[in-house]
Amino acid sequence: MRVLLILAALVVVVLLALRFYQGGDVGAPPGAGPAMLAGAPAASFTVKRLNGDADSLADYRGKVVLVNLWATWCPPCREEIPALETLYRRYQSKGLIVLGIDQGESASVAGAFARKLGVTFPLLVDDAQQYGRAYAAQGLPTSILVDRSGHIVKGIDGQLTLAQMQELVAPALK
Amino acid sequence: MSSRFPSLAVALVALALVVAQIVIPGAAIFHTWQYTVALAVIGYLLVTYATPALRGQEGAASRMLGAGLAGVLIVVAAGIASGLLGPDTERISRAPGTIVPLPDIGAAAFFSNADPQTIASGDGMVSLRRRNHTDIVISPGSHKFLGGLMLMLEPLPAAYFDASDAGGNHLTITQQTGSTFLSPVLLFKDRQSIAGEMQFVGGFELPGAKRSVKVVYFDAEDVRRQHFPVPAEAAGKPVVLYDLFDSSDKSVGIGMAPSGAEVRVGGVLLKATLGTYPQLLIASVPAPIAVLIGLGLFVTGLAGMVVLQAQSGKEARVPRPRGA
Repeated sequence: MRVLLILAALVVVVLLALRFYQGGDVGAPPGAGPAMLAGAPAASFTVKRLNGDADSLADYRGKVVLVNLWATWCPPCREEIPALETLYRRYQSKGLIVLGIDQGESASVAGAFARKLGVTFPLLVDDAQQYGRAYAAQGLPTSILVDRSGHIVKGIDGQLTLAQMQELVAPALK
Repeated sequence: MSSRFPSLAVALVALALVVAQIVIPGAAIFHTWQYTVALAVIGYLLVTYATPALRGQEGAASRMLGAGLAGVLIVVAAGIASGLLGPDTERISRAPGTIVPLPDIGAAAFFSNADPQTIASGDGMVSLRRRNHTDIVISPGSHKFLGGLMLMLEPLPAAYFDASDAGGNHLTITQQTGSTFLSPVLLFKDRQSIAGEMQFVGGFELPGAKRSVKVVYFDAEDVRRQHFPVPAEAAGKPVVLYDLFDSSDKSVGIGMAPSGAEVRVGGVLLKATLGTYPQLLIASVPAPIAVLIGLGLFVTGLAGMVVLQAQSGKEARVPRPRGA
């Protein structure tokens, strides 16, 4: 009887140990889309500027960067660009960079569009759509606020108004 | 003595059943009640064999056998635990360069970035990142243990697409029904019956050109068997069939091209690099530590039994001293 009890205890101990062994600490934030990336280091890929020079998000370390993923065929992206331009001009002196990253199109297409709208903030062309995948874009536009240390403050799916943009960047610029 | 061989047979069956979870991870049978009941019955038999053996009713050798059976019981317990308490098998497929939170195992899976060459060679990898732990990198063909889970990669047919308009301008590729919206890599997860055979199918959109594209993947064997009208240089290569639709869902063209070749269909130029990209398989398996301890105990017990039996056999053969 004593042996049986020992064996039963052994089984229980193994079961409990397995249960505890499986449950590690949680290292990933819940949710989906760009919102889930808050707090994570911002991924950076070297792509081309409109003039063909190489550039990447990492080159702006030390600045607060509002990354905007967009494309010329996307109506809400086109509507959002004037507000992004206003934001950039207003807060550039305080250390804000607006970084537009076109997803999947040629530099000639993105460049012609930017010239028409008088865009002055830096524009990159990501024809392999690497930023879109890394930032879990669920649609366009997608905006990602990156702090001076290169960490994601917030990821937002969809079009923002100027007021929403200002509310978003103000705490990071302090 | 008489119960030794049946008990050893039961022990070996038990070990085979549990080790099968590691050899063929992810099989649905391991999460069925029938499997659990089978292991429970075997566990009960092991207890009935081990109890008298551990009491030493058949000598010191049988006590060693009892210890060995106790080891098998640990393995059985680990097998039942992974089947009953472990999560169901999960297959996670995502586009290259994406991150998937896995809160159940306290980690995030990073699917490696991939260019066309990576897809063609099937060299995509997945890294598992856990807070305060080193990364677990899983490469094709390898597997890793994480507690009572086994992580391994299974290759999925995949295609890296390039698209441009009539003017040669690159076009954005989106996958509105796929797991990753902005990805030029299509993972073929669905199959459809075409001409009596099941083929991999998928689709993507070219919003800049107002086109949606349905794609069928044919491997080299399909191409040979079905006599597709492909160029001679495509022999032995997989091909894709494109079916393009405009914004009113009207078909605007059908084309076919082997891996790496461009084809003009419906006013756009398309190129696919075909190959594979991994999906992550997470399967519950018996905790390796428990299995190792149990197996160690079983082997030690078995060895001890054999040694003690041999010793007692020698003692039995020693002639009695004369005059005793």
